[in-house]
Amino acid sequence: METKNDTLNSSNAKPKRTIMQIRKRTERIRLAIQAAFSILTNSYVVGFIRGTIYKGPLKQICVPGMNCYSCPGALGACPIGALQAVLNQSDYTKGVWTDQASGFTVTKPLYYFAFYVIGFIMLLGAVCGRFICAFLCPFGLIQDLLHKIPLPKKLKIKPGFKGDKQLRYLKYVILVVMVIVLPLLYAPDPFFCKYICPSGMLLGGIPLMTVGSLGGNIAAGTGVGITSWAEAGSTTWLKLSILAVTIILSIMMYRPFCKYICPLGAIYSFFNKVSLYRYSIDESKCTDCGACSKVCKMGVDMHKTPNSLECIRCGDCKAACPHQAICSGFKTIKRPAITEAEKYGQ
Amino acid sequence: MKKNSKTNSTYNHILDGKFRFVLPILLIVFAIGFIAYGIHDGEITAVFNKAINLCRECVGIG
Repeated sequence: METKNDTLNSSNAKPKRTIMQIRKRTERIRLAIQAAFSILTNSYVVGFIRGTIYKGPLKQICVPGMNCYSCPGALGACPIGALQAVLNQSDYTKGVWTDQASGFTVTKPLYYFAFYVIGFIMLLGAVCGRFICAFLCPFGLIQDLLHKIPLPKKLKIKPGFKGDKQLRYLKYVILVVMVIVLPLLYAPDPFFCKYICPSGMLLGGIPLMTVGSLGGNIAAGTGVGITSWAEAGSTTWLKLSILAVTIILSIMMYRPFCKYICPLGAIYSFFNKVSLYRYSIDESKCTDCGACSKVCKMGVDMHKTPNSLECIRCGDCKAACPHQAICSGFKTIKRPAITEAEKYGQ
Repeated sequence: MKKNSKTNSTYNHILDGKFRFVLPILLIVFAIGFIAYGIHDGEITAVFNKAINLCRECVGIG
């Protein structure tokens, strides 16, 4: 019986130092891609200077990650905000008609299905699944950077703590309740954006209100900007509190918002198992040493579920595998043919 | 025996086997259809109108 240590020290395994170097290099490349994409999609510099937002035609297109469209630099539309905006158009009163036979007025509720936004999310999800979370989401980048802040080891929370598994379902509840059902029934409030989204507060609210306040009195129409801290109310403080908790937790644990709250990540997670870009395990190389699961900051048991709903495709497991058994890309390693005994669990 | 956990899923065999590309390509086709219909239906205007105006709820003042 081969033990884990034997496997890591075996002759064909990579030396530990090399694995660390590969992991660091992979992380640096990922951070560079995240930063480049975040800068590219938030490059309306005038917005930051004048405290305004971009109003050009690019705003018709959604960006792949959580990026508030009220961020002064944002060039595109946030898919979750856009989804709620379309669902908010639903109206009970629009479909009023008179039944010819009975003569009664019939009210037929008018619901919108957000074809454009759902199609956009579906397209990205079907191509790359939660790869977007790791590489193209600005709020993911912020959480990654916050997690780099050093903290005593006892204050760091590792995945797999009591309640972690149950809390992961919270993002699906938020998706259904706050993003779909409530905006559909109680227009015109985008419930998720209004009561939860810390991204909107951090990327939109704080810079806009700060620039507006520095520029002068908005109410008197003399200053620059479209809002200021003078307009802050109870919702502002609620959202600031949520943001503060998110920041503190992001320092203590890896991506708490992505794990437990993000409705966009919840949608993309459904595509992880079927997307074109996928992870697979080369079973002829895998020794079940568990090195991949050990390094996974999202708490995924990689060698058992390489396309888990929680996997954000960061590539850390791939870099840490001492046997290069984890493959990623548009082609997967073919599994051995399933036997009847295996099929029926014998 | 240790490999059984990885190989006994019929579901994974279907997704990694001959249907590997069928489902994502079907999803992509549907997605493109949805986008085209959404643009044709004027949904893009709703997205644009929301995105070019300050979303007061999003920034915490609504």
